[in-house]
Amino acid sequence: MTLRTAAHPDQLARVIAAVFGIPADTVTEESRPETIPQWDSMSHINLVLALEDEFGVSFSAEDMVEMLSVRLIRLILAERGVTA
Amino acid sequence: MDRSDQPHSTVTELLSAARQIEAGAVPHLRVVKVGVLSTVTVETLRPSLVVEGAARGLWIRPYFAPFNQLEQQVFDARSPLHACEPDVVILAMRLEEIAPRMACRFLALADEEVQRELAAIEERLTSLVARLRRTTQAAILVCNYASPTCWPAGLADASREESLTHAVHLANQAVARCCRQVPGAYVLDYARIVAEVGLQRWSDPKLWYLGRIPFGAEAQRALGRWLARYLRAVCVSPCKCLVLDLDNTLWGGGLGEEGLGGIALGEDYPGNVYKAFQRRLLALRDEGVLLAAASKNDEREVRDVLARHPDAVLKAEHFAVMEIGWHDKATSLRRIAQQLRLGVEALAVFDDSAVERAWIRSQLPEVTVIEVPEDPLGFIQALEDSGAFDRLALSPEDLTRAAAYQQDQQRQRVQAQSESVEEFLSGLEMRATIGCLSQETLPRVAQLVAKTNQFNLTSRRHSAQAIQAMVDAGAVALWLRLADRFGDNGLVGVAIALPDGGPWRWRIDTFLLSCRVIGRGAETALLGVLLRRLRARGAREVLGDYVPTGTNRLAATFYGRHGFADVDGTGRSWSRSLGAEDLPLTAAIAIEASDELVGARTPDGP
Amino acid sequence: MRTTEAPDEIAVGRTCRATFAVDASVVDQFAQLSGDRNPIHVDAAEARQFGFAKPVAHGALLMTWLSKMIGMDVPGPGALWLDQSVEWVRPVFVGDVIELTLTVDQVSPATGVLRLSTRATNQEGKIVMQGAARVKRSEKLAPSRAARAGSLVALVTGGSRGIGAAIARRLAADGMTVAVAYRASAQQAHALVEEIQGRGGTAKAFAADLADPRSAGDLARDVIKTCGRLDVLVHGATPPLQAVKLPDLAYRHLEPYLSTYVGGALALMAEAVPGMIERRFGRFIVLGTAAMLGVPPPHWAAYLVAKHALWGLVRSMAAELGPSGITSNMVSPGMTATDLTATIPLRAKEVEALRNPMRRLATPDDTAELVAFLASPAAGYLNGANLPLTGGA
Repeated sequence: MTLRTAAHPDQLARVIAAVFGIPADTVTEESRPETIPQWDSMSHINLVLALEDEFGVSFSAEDMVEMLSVRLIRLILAERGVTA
Repeated sequence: MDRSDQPHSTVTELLSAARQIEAGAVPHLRVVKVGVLSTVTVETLRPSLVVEGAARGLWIRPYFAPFNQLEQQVFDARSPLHACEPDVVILAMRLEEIAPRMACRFLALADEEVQRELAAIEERLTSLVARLRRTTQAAILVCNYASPTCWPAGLADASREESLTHAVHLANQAVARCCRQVPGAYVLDYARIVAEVGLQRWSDPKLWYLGRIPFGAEAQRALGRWLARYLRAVCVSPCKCLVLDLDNTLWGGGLGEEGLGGIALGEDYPGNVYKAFQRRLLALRDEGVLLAAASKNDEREVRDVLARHPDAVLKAEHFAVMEIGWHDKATSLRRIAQQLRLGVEALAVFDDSAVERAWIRSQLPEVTVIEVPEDPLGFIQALEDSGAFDRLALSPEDLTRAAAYQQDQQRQRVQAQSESVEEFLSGLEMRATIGCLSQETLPRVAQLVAKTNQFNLTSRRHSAQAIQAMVDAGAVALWLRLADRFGDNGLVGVAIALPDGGPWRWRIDTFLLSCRVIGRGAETALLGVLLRRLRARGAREVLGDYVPTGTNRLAATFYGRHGFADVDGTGRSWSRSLGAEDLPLTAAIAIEASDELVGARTPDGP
Repeated sequence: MRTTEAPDEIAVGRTCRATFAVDASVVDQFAQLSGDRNPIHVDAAEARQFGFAKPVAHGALLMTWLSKMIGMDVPGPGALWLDQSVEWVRPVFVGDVIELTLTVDQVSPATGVLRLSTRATNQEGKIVMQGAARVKRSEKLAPSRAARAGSLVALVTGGSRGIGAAIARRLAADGMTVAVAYRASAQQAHALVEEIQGRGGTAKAFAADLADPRSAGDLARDVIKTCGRLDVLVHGATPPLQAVKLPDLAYRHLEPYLSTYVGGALALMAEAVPGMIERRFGRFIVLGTAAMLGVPPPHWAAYLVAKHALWGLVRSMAAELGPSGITSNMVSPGMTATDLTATIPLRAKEVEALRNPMRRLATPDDTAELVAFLASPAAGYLNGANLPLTGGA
């Protein structure tokens, strides 16, 4: 299990890129399901699990539902002590 | 040993790896098409399944039906499930969905209502499996039921006579029963997998409530691993023999340096770890896995330990072969395979030395080299995790295999001492039983059809389901069992014949004999009974093919020696007319036809 | 050419005079336009042959100049020339300077028809043409007596910050004179006024407590006195939002909201309406909230009660003041990033934004744009509406 870690600004982008299979430099703060075609309901679940694994945190159902954009993901991670 | 210490990939690594495998980037994988029908969302298992499959040499191509589409997919011949032509179909139903009242409101139900619910789910399952059997040749894996998370009577539940646990147990027995009745259907022990991970750690509530996914991240990985093991067991035969190193594997320390009194093997730590391992190995032998030893040691000293050490669980007679000497391991393995008349691919090796393991891998890539941890506390788990001996059904032959090999060694000793072949054969006091294919004999028959290489006329690898289908369509399928004074060799011969354009002409589709019993005339006995049977069914002419494969040259002259004519001079096509004349027999074998054949006995029969 | 200024009302006896020079080029142009190349008009030699000392100008030239005077001056645009009698008394020669005179002899208010006498004299004062005309004057279907936006005066309450400030900027950019009312944020109000003036606009800051009817009345009077008029009233002032759970809610919680929203509106309206009626133009625009639409958020009952009361006032004003050319409307924006929402966590705002069809929260400028439209003469038929500005949520 990975320890809780301070995320580099692009660590989050790298995880997101790896989950969806897209280049990391196409991931921006505004990125959201409408702007990334690979981001569907099934891959959203993979994303949540990948984030939990990568940053050693645990999300609530509400967190999972509110991860509507990369910016929001960063805010939610920040609430868990992962600074980006 | 805590499995979480083992390195595992992160979720992102898993997803990337799965993507690559699904894009076809990994070579030399065997394609397995799997259709999954479930009452919950299982799509998230895809990455784990694909990655674990690839680790076991499989390119798993899954089709996940939309959740809760069981009957729709099974009963519609043009459903996506059928269209993808799966090699394996997995049925995954949970009590929470198919028997919700029983799973969640158990105490509100009267005993008769519980029985009714159990009967209803059994009937539903039976109907699904039966239908699947008719519409596809796929192997069917049926998940059994894990205990629901709610504990109806709390702490008092386990003491009750009619508890939910008991009901789940009955339901699981019904699942097993259903699978035993249908060829090519097997139980996928979901309950066991959940227990291994742990009921509490199994689910992630947010995934259930948001996506109807009853598995959390850890459970998904475990399921991927286990499903991949089951799928591999469908496609790949298990290893037949486990070759063990001795020093630091069966006991602590080197026998050569420590001597009998110095090795660690006993009731105290660390000796008890090795003793426990030996016990586990003995249990493995009970399952039908042959044990062999390959060790760089002095043979006399080894035999001494096995005979005299008070804590030696494994004795010399438990080993089918012992290669104790100074050969390199690869050579030992080849010799073991040869002696057991197995291909090297049927061997698995458990050796504590990483150097030896690497050597074996480089010299014999077909051998399954089990990954052995540094700490002997992990040996048993490593053996379990290897999956080297995974198989979906145990046949009676499996259970007696080790003993059978032991008997074989006795026969070989006698043969070596006999003055002539005839003397040897008659001295064996052989008895053959020949019968028609049945539900009980089908698994072993299928096993022989799948694996017999040397004395196999056509090498057609029909699956259990296919064989059953042929019989249902009117084929004659016979098995032969051979026993002698040393023991029962078990079911060792198979013959299948089909009508060929009319009841007066038949073709022998399959004719084989296990190499263990070649050269004793059993094949003549089987052919004799087969021809009688066909004649009784109206055959006047019988055709037989010989399909050369490179390993079955032994069978090339078989038909020729038994009165068949070479039709076109190629040696591939044989034919024999069946008049009222005598049919071949063997003097040395007493033939007993099983009950169904009694009616077919002719005056010149036994 | 001289024209006299024509006031809106045309009285009997009003005259209009204009002088035209009859050049050869003018005659040539007319010949081209009409196709009348009768040699007496265009050829000196021919003209002499017919007995004229010089080429003669087309008589119809005088008609074209008459057309210009009727269509542009008396009665001016909208004029319809019904009939004309004309006698050409003397020839007009190339080189003459003609003075044309129109005189209004009769006005019929019922039909809008004027009787005009028309006369032309040359440089020697001799009459060259005389006649009479009947001209109908028509009015535009909707009397747009309202001046262009550039001369309107708008008062924006709560104008020093947030949405109010955005509205003030936008109305000033449209050319309105903007009165920025503030209660306590004097510094921000004056900074805003400076900013607007720096951009070339006209603005002034006024202090007032809208919860106090006297202060509100004074505010309106001050604005009218200082700016000369008050045409547009944008009422967005609000006390700070305070959450109160319903069982604990008492009337006293409602008072600050009711007095600011409704009391303030009433006091301002009383002062502003008379002038609006006189000019037949007025705009009342008040701020509502998207919380009024759909399920309200919890603990905001006091705020919502007052906004609904204000809405009731807007609807009554729309019905009663509409005939005088005064429209009254409400604009209800969704969550906007301003001081009012400063205590709402960033995450909640971001989620709200992303759940919105437009994928963002409202900005103060979104509301300012809508208010600018409502305030304009172009929105004269939009009355009594509560316009949701929610992005579709």
